Amino acid sequence: MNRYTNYNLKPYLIMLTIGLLVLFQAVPVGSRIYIDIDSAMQKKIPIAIPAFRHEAGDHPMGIKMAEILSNALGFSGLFQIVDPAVFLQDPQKMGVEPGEIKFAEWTFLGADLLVRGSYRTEGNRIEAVIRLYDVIHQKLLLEKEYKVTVEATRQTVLDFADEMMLYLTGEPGIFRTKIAFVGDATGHKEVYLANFDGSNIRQLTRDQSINLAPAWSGGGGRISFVGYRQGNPDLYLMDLISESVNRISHRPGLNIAPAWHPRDEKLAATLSFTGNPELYLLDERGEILRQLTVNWSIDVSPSWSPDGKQLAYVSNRAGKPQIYVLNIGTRRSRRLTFEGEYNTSPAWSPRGDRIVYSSMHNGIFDLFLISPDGRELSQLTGGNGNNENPCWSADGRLILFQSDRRGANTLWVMLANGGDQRRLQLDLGGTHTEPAWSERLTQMAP
Amino acid sequence: MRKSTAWILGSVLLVMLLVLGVSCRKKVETMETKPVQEEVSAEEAAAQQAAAEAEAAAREAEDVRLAEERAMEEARLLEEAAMMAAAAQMRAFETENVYFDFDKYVLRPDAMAILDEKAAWLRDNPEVRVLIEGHADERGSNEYNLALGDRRANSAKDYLVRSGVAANRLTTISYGEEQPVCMQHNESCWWRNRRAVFVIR
Repeated sequence: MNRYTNYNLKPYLIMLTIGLLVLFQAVPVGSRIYIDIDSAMQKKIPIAIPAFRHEAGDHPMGIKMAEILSNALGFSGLFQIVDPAVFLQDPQKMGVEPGEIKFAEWTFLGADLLVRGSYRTEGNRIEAVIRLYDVIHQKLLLEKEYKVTVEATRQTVLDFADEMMLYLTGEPGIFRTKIAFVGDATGHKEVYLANFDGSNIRQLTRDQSINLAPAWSGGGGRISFVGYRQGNPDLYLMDLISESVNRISHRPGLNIAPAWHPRDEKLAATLSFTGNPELYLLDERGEILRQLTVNWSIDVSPSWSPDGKQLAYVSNRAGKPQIYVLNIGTRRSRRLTFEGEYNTSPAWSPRGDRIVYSSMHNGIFDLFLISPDGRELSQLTGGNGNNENPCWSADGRLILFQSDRRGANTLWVMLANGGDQRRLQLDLGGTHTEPAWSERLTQMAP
Repeated sequence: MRKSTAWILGSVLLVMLLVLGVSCRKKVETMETKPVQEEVSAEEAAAQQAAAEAEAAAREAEDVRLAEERAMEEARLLEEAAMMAAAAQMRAFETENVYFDFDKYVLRPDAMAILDEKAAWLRDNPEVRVLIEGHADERGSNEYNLALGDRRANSAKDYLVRSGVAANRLTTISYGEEQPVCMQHNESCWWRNRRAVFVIR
């Protein structure tokens, strides 16, 4: 029921483009990074999201739905949510339809955008209409109708958030994504799964050995990881629906660092059965399709370019770990990083234009951004403990990483320019490391 | 008075006689037994000598037995000492780690000295098979450290193989930074964690 998809698109695209240009302006290396959260907030788009109105008066779900939407949009880092405490009217009495909106009141509160939702319930069914308004131009931008079960409410609201992002930025949001990571709350390193915002935690492995390096396979229905359950670091592949696990590589030595090709059902990984850790291309059953590196140094931590034609990885062939880029077609590698004496964990942005990696300086690890041609080096974190193992959100706007700035390693999220750094809310003890962010999932595993 | 004096004298005499009588009877008895004894010795001299000889032989046998026992005990102690030494060597083989510099897998001179001892012991104990674990300190990525641990275990293995230990007796595994023995976040712990560990299988 998307009646207004192309309505008044241009002003917002221009405004967001300017906003994003400001947001993605990177800090040059050498100058000390200083992340001013307040000024970053000023660049965010103020949006008001009053509790959705229930047809038959007060209803707890209306507040919940507005909360879900506010949290999701706030997580994106693009919006500043107007505090509901300053609203001038009871949301239950405010209008919802285009003719009923008092735009002047929202302008007064500083909101540029307004989301108004209304719904009715019937048994286990819920029917909702959610509308996005441009307060400045006093216009309806987007209107969506949903008829779903009560259990699907959360996902429905997140789907609207994705629609909003698509409408406003030309690209859907990341609200249908999941995060895999390694946690040791049980005393053993196990692989866990959570929603993009850290909610709905699910433990995937429980063999009490060591489990590491979760990696999403293309499509997001499967996760590969490194496990010691059979006494050697072997590569496993788990189907997220059935939870069935296959051991796909158990050659002598290392079977580690899985990275799935963005399109085909194959993966790059590090094997050391020859006595030296080299990169290989494997099919989904673990058969070697091709050896990718041949030398006497360590080659590890591959990350694909979004077109699947290049591979960023770590090699110490020059004596210390540095980032290299391998052209799959020509099989030639070139060194990407020259600054810093210890560079690891490259992650290629889904947009293709940046590679984030972890660099040690003065004994501390921080995250840096570099373009695939080796230019435009910028520092993203600084003065906040060790920051390692970065990965990207599907839209390339956010970076998820581990940081020990509060003691033990936990997961943190920031904008791709290093701004708006915040801890991912995970209701789980122990350390959280090696995050891996899925692409947008068409089918959400439980 | 005279009558009582005579009574006392009589009593004294009686006592003296009694005493004399006793001692005389004693004398008589000794004088009587002596000839009897001489008579027995003469009859059983041969038997007595045989008994004495038997006794001497038994003593000699006992001495031999004691000497044997002592020798056995000494041998046992030696054996025990040797076993303890072997156990200590085996323990030393397992407890003595090889350490590495940060981000390095080349063997330092102290590492080679330890590996020389291990190689000698492995040559003396050809039935022993060994798992060599490679470990790293916490700095650096988990994956790079797994690779580092792999190279460290293989550095130790290659050295032992070059020292004459059959390669099929040695297997390796890397734990990267996943199994530290020391938990502080500074060099006092890091050097202990950058290690190769030797486990007898």
